Amino acid sequence: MRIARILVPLIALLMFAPLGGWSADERVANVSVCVFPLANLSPNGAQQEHQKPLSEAVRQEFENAGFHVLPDDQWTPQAESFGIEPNQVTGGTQAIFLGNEIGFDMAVTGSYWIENDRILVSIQCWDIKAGTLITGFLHTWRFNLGFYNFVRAEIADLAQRVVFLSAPRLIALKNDVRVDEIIFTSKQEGMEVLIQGHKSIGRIQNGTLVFQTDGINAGTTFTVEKRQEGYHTLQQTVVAAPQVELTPIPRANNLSLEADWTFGQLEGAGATLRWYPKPDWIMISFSEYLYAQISLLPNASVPIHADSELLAGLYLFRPPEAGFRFGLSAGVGTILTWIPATSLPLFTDVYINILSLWAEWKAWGIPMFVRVETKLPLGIGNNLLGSGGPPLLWGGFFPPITLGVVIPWK
Amino acid sequence: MEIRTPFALKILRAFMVAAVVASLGSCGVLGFIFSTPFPQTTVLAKAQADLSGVISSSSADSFNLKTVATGGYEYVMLIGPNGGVAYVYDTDLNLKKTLTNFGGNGLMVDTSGNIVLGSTEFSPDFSSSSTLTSGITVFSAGSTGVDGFVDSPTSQVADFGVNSNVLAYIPFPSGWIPSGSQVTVPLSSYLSNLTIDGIFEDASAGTVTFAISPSGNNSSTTTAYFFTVNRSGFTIPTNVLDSSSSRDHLVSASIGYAQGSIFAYDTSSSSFVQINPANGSTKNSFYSPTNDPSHLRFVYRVGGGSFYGFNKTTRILTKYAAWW
Repeated sequence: MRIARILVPLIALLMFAPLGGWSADERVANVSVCVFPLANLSPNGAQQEHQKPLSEAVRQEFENAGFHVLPDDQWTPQAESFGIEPNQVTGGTQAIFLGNEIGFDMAVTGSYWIENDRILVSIQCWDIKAGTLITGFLHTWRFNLGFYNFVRAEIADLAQRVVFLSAPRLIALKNDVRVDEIIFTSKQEGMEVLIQGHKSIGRIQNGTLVFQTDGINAGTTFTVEKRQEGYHTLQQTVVAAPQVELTPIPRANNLSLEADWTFGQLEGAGATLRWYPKPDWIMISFSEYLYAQISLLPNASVPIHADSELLAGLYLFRPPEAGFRFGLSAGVGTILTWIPATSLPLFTDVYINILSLWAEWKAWGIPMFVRVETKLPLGIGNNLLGSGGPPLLWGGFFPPITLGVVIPWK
Repeated sequence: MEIRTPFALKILRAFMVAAVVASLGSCGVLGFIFSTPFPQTTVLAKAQADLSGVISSSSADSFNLKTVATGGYEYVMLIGPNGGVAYVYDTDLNLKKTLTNFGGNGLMVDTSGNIVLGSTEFSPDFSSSSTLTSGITVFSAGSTGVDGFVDSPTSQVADFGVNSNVLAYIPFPSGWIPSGSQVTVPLSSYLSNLTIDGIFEDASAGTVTFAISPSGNNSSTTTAYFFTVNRSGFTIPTNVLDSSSSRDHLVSASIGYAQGSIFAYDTSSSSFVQINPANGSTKNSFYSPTNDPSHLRFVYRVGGGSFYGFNKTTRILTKYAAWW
């Protein structure tokens, strides 16, 4: 018994030895974490008895790291009310959904699989507000007495990585945490990065660019300028952290194509070529819209209209990278009308486009627009629309309304 | 508003789709989507004659547009004032003849089957002409229709006119022998300041239909009254308009006749309408909201098939296919 009194604490000390290197971090004390039981994926549902100790190990390590781990009774009933089985939450979708519903900051999900003498453990940590994966691991071990030591070490390491990686997003950093190196990541290869607008630190290569900060307080905000040949130069304000993602910069377009469709001219379609003297700001455009005028009247012909237009326009207020932009344009146009199977001549309706206003937004990354036009026919030559009247109205009431999509070309 | 749950998002999307479908289903939205700024009559246009080189914009308003048919020939005629000039087209708007100095602007077919224009009588093919008996001139009764007709094998009536509420005309024996006896008939006991919109002779039916308006003119809307009498033994009952059918909001210059019906542009419905002259009811209509006919003058072939519009602004004469 005396030996046992000595050995049991000793064994316990050995089991929890990996924890000795880490201590609770007061910065994450207010970060609430929901630790879901690890799902048992073992064949035929065997090895269920390991679920509780494994899940408890995860819970303890996050508590030890300083996180506020929610008691089960604070989230289990609500999960069940949404039809979610707490023991079967393995993916981010359900965890993030519950996080938003219940109101915790982070979720830990996982699963294990045991067969013969091998065990596979997979654990992920989810940022609820961002709706993203923070980090995780997937590891296999021989399933023997040393396993719990190994897995606890792995989980403890995971918890500390979460503290480190997610700190800027989940907690307010203290000034005494310094970052010596920032890894900028970006999908835009070759993009040059300048710190505070003047000091170039290089270009993105293989998705990353390392910036030696010489020591900067974590959480410090500063501005980087992003530029690349053929792209718009943009600035981005970032927060000092070990890893900072830089958003891509938009391409500077000199030419674009439009495909458009106008109400009242639905039996046809149009295309426009835009040339930008100032990329994505000022444009000269030439458009052609071909459509038929179909009537259900007996003996009716099918007039064919070709509307050609030359406009000068510009975007207003918002920059090219904005998701929503406005613009206006004006110019001249001509509608040629040919009525097949008649002896009628070609009709020519020359008009002034006094003002076109459009709103453009990016849907699935593609600029789409709605445009309202004010066309005033001049009554020149053999025309159909006359002159001196109000601007062209569809159905006697509505100005031409066009829906379209802009396709960058060059 | 923050969308907190997928369920709420689904409800919102369903609502938006329902709203779009409902709005598309309304006639107004569909009417807008499939509308056009071009005149609805564009789809009916079949042929044109450009008279801008021969008719000035200042004189275009004084030209009457009429049709005449006799001896197997049928013409569309633009007749200038005072017997100065008339342009004769076939029904496909091929120019057949330019007439000058015919002494007046009234048009009719006489007992000989010849075409009378002003004081000149033309053979049906316009190959020959002669001047009517001295002093006789057929004057224009209205901007469309005919200005006289045969009421028996040996007589004809012409020179219709209205003074306030009294219609006057002159019967002529065949051979245009002067008779000198003008007939007058009060048309209404309460309407005055009447104008003849058109006198429409229907040879196949043996009838003449009158369209008469109070204070009518060629560019404003009016209430037109209609009555039909037989050509044979032509006579007009006293105060016939008091019991005649009528129709409001018609453009005077658009009133015409074909196949037993009156045609006109109705500003209240923005439509061309086919009217039963017996009761003023609409048989058919053709919605044409952007077609302002105030600068147009219309005439219809009595037998149907087509109608014609003269644009007083562009001085272009257009043939349209029948829409009814």
